[in-house]
Formats: sequence, structure tokens, C-alpha cells
Amino acid sequence: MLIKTGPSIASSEITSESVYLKRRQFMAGAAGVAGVAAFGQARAAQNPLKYRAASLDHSAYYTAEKLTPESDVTSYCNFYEFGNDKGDPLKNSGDFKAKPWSVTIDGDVAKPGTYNLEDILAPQALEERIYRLRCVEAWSMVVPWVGFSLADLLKRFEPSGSAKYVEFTTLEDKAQFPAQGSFSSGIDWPYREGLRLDEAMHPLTLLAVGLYGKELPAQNGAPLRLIVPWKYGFKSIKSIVRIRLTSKKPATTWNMLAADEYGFYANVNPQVSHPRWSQASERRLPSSLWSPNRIETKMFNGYQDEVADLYTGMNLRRNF
Amino acid sequence: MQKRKRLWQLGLFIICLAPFTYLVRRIVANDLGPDPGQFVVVWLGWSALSMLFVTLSSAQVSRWRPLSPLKKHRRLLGLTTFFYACCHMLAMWAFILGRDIQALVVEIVERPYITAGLAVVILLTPLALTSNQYSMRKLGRRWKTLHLLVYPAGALALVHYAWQLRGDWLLLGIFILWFALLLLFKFVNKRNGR
Repeated sequence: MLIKTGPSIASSEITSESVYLKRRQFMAGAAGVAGVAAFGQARAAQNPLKYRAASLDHSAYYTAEKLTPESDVTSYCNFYEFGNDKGDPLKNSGDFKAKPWSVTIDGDVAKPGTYNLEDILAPQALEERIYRLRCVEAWSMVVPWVGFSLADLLKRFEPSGSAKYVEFTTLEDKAQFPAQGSFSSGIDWPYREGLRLDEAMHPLTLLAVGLYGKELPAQNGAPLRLIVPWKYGFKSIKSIVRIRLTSKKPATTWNMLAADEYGFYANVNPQVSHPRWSQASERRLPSSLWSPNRIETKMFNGYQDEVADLYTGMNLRRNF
Repeated sequence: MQKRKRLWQLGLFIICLAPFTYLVRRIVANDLGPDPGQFVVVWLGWSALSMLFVTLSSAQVSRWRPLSPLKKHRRLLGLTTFFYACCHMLAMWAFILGRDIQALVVEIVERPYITAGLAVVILLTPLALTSNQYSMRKLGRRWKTLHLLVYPAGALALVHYAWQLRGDWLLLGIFILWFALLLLFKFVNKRNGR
């Protein structure tokens, strides 16, 4: 079993001291005008969450690698609904409303319906998971998420025997996601992603509601997003409004846009290059000009021991 | 007259170096976000592509009287383009590949968009080298023919960009339209013997 009980530790203690101090400086500065200006836009602070902190014990739920600072995690995002540049999601998410929020759970389940997010979350105990996040663009971060296993949620709604896949859908609303109205975007909104049921039921697969101990900010996929740490980041769909169990492999957004470049599986695999760039290494962020912080990419993003069994006998070059 | 030429030169020089000055300011301020290498490379790439298109346009635009002095300063525009293209390539090697020569060779061989980008720099190199008065005299009529290479360079630069595109095609569309208009104007003016 992956979960081990042991001494628990808050992410603040894992954060390296310099980063932590910088953060404290930022928070102190935010009170003044200078701090707010430096962040581009003043935002209401995210509410803190109650959760069980990640365990220092060896476990796939935790990595001792240096955390990517919170200000980087929340200012450098791929969230095309808000724009194509990494800074756009923070800049353009001012009109996004994460509350109230409801999620439709339907398809091959015994208890289909549309539920308030509060009702979905009420029985779930939140826990912290410190995961590596590997983007298909060959950069990566280490992020302390707060959430719960997707499997725990799916079980509550009782998938039927015919369910083989899970399809996820992001909110479609031009008023809140300005770039969904862009005429030149090749993306067919809403954003869609999917997992095989066994991938979805894997204990590593997380539904996140927070990061760095607080509710998710809009630009990181508030209020509910998927985290599949052994797959490229685009699989980890944000701002989910629908979870559908199905017997057929769902169509997924990037695959629809460029099937030769973005597969359904999208498992992190250093041996299979993206047609346009190598996936053998990645830049761990934050990087600096003189040291790009280039590290080797690991099979399944370093979660091989946990997930390789899911793909026994599969040709991962063909099923990329 | 000489004074006016100087003024044009100074103005253009400031405009040409503005993207570079801005970048240096951001670097010095250490204000490039979590992935500074990427920022610098992309910024220099945009600067190079924009300058290349400004250079390409200068011949057509300078037919309009108020902008006619531009014709005398095309060397400055061309050399600025070459400068940004070289900086773009060097920055990719220094800040993304961590100054690893072998990694650069692998990228050039395996990534078509990088091969296309390198081809642009290779095409621009003889143009930069022969941009002086001496070469112009020495090459005579062939100089003009040689400098037509700037058009394939422009096309390849767009290919280099198109092969990296993800999701949104707006800017590529604008550049392709721009390029098509330039070719059209060139063709029409040539037919009219101008």
C-alpha cells in the first residue's frame, strides 16, 4: 500500500528556508503598495484549507525535491482559456468565479446527477501531496497540492461494469474564460480530457482543490482540478464541471488538435520524443539564465514503481 | 540634408535597439519570471522576426514620399535583423541548452523547426557580410540578386515559427498576410518597371 502513516510535516517546513523567507517578505510587502504592484494585480488571498500534511516517510505521495515557489506556481501557467502566454492566466482571470460551483457526474454510474461542490467535498478528507509536474513543453515544477484520490470520489457514485473510461470537461463560459471567445484559437472548447478507468482509480490520481495549503487560485484551475503526476501536464484538466463514466474512449482536446503530437495516454516518457522536441530532459523551474537547471526526465515522471503495471504489454511508443 | 540623414539614422538606431535595451533592463532587474531562459530566447526571436519583416517592408514602404529616406538606411535595418537572429540563436544555446555544443547539434539535426531557424541565419550571413560599400561595388549587379535571399529567409523564418505553433494561429496569420502583400507589391512594381 502506498499510504504510510508517520510523522507528518507541514509544507512550510519542507520549503527551503530561503524560499520561505522570500515568501514571508512577499507577504509583508503585499501589505504595502509595492508588493501588490510587483504581483501585477491585487487579489483577495485564497482561503486556507484543513488537510493532512504530506508525510516525510518514503512514499509516492511525497518528494523531498525542492518546491517550486508558490509565486512561480501561481504566475507561470498554461491555461489557454485565459490566453496563450504563461502570464495570461494570472492576468486575465479577474472575472472568474469559483463559487458557487457544481459538478455533473454521469454516464455509467449508479448515482448520476449534478452536485454542489460543497456536497461533493463534504465527505472527503483532504490531504497534501507533493508531486512533480512535468509539462509536455519540457519544463517541470514540484508542487504541494491539497486534494483527495479521484478513486474515493468515483466509488461514491458507483461506476457500473460497463464503465471503462472517465471523461472530464472544463467549464465553457466566454464571460469567465475570455480566450474561449478568440476567433483564431484552434481549440474546440470546452477543454476535454480522459483517463482509462484503472488510471482514474489509481491512488496517485488526485482531485486537487488547493495548493500550498490554500484553495486553488483561478489561474491554477479553481475550484477543482485533476492531477495525474505520471502524465504530461495537459492531462491534468482544470476547473472541472463534468465527470462522465463511459465505455468508449473519450475524445481529448490536444489529441483532437494534433493527434500525432499529443496521444491519449501522454505518459511522461523520455524515450519518446514529441515530434518537434526531445522529451529526454526537462528544465526544473525556477531556472536561472546561467544555469537552465536541466535534469534528466524519468520514465513515468519518476512514478514508474507505482504505475508501470498499468501498461504491462503495451507498446508505449505507439500508445504515446 | 546631411543633418536630416543623421537624424533619421539616430532615430532608427534607437528604434532598432529598443527591444534589446528593454531586454537588458529586464535581465538587470532580474524580473523574467521562473523560466528566464525561455523568455529571453522567445523575446529575441520575436525581435528578429519583426526586424526581418521591417527590413523586407522598407523597400516597398520607402516608395511613399515621407518615408523615402528609409531607403538609405536599409543596411542598418538588415544588420539589426542579423544581430537579433544571432542573439536569438546564441541565447538558445546558452540559456536553454546550458552551453552544451552536443545538445545543440542534436537539436539542429532532430528538430526541423530548429533546422529551419538555423537556415535563416545561414541565409542572412552572406547578406550581412556583403552589406558594405566595398562589396556593393565589387559585386555590381550580382549584389542585388544575392540580396534577394532575404525573401527565402523571410519564408523560412515563418516556417520556423509555424512549426512551433500551438493552439492559436493569429500572429502567424498576420505575418503570412504581411509576407504575401510584400511579394504582391514587389511583383506589381516590377511589372510597372519601378
